[in-house]
Amino acid sequence: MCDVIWCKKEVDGSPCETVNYLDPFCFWNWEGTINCAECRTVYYIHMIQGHMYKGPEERPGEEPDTSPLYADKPLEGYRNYMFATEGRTRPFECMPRSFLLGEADMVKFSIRGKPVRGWRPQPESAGIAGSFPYHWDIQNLSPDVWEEYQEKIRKGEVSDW
Amino acid sequence: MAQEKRDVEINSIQDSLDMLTPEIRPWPVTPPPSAEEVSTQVYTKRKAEDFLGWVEDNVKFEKSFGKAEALAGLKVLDIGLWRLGHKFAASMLAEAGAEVVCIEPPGGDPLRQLTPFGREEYMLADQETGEKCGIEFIAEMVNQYAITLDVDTEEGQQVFRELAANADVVIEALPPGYADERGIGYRHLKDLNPGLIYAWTGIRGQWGPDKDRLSKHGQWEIEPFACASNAWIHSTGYPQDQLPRGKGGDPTRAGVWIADYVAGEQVAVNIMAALYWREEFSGEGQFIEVTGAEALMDITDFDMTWYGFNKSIKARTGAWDPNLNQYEWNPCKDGYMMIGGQSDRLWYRIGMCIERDYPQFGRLIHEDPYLKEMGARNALHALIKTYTLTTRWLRDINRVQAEEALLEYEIAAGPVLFVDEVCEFPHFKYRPWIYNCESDYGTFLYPTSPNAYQFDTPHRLKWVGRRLGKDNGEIYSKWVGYGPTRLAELKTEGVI
Ligand SMILES: [Zn+2]
Ligand SMILES: [Zn+2]
Repeated sequence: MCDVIWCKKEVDGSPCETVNYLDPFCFWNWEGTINCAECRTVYYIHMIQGHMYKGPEERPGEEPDTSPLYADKPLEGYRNYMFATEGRTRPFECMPRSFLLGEADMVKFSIRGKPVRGWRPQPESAGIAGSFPYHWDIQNLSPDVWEEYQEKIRKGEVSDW
Repeated sequence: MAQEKRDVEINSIQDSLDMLTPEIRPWPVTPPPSAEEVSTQVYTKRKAEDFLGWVEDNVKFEKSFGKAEALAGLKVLDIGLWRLGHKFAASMLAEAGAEVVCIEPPGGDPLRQLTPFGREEYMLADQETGEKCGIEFIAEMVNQYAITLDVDTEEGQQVFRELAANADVVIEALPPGYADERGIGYRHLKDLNPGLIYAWTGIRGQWGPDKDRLSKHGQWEIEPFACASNAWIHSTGYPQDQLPRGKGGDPTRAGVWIADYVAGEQVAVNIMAALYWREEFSGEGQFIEVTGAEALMDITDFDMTWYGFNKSIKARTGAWDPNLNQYEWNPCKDGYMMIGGQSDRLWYRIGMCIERDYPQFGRLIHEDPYLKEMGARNALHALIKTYTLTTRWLRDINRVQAEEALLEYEIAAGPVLFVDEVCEFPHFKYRPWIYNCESDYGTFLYPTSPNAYQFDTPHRLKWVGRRLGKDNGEIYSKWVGYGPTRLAELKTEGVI
């Protein structure tokens, strides 16, 4: 293993098979415990210059010092855990100021009334910087916003500039 | 040129002090590739010998010294303290051939005394007088004549007016209103010289509610205030979420006085446009103001537009470009490696290259359906995944190995170089971007002007910073006709 932890922990009779990505600027030189994003098994790792000097060793019963930013499941269609999924992955809020740390602001429309990609279906846990990897199909992914958009078009609230 | 290598034993700082001289530490350590080698090994391979031979015949740096200068005869007066902006602007014009005279007070610009961590051993000694000068000052006074003048005295102000009456351009970087209060600002000079182009440069401006000020102790605002008063500093460094908890995430400085350089360049652009306007249309000069804060704001990318769009505050993303994947540097065995991709062609080529050593890369990256779409690849989580696995490959190899491997696949790749490597980089030695010149302070290694590659009027460095008041005799005689007696008088009065 290297700077991913490919978790093989037995869960309900089959291996967990989750790839936990240890992002380079955080883990290049790092020692501590980290959880698997899916089964939450806690591992001890000691990384020196990007190499896994020790670990991953299971540390049952211990609280993790940190979490991966991102993890996915290549054997299950690359199902994934985004950053800032509570209890599973580390937050990536990019929040520069404390007063902005409250509820994620779900901006739906730009000042020209065009839909922008800042609202659900992103789970709230994805935080304001959350983003989704698949084709941006508003009509299917977010029918309520689509409806609202059609309404805006009808009312003439959408402009080019 | 290249000298024999020798071993040195360093037991204390004393042993390393005189290694700064070119006799001990020569440049270049290894000679640059020959024109023959470059042509046969690089140009021929690309079937470009013809075109590149023609370009080289016309732009190679060595050919520039006999050529004409675009701004020959243009007279520029430069006055300012503590700052690089006006010096950089003036140097740009001087490199293009203008006659540029820099005025310092009789005690010299305080910048002459600035040296890293205050260490005198990093200053260079005047070969004649032994007086020490900071390297930054010397490096930023390219092709400028050095004269002294105290514009705080009435006589000095009169002398300044006489000089300015003879100039095409005045570049000024004194505190706001300072020149005007002394009767030597644009309002006074334009009556004496209607064709005068007068450019003031500073931090936030001479006017406006938050204009440049002096502190009550007389300290000037200098460059960092310009970086601080826009999003420049906020955008540098790592976001805390990208580093281990509690281990940083702070903004950092740009490494150089970037606002001064950018403002200086804009001053030069303003002056060139004003010159064209004067020559072609109005026949008159004009007043110009350029601030470091605004010059930087102009190059803060789309940060403000995005904020105006939906109040987004663009986050720092450290070494990762937020708009592209791959487009980043990540750690490797001996430093950091920059890799560029994004388009499908490059994306898969990077993968093919890495897969040779690390097959898992293709499995986790190329087979991930979410990463197949170019736009989707730019999502933050996709950067995290891609760069984690790229670094998994990089951790076992040096920058040069990574570069060689990636270039084999025609991928944009380049190591993050240290300055000693830059100076020995064959490419830069060949053009050459790096060169030696003789100065009042001994041999001086410097970067060539990026404007040196013009067919007919290449810009060029003729000299770097000079000793304080070196050109008093020549310039005062040439510009305003002062003889030795007059100069001796001014000297006694402390005016020059
Ligand atoms: Zn697991
Ligand atoms: Zn220069």
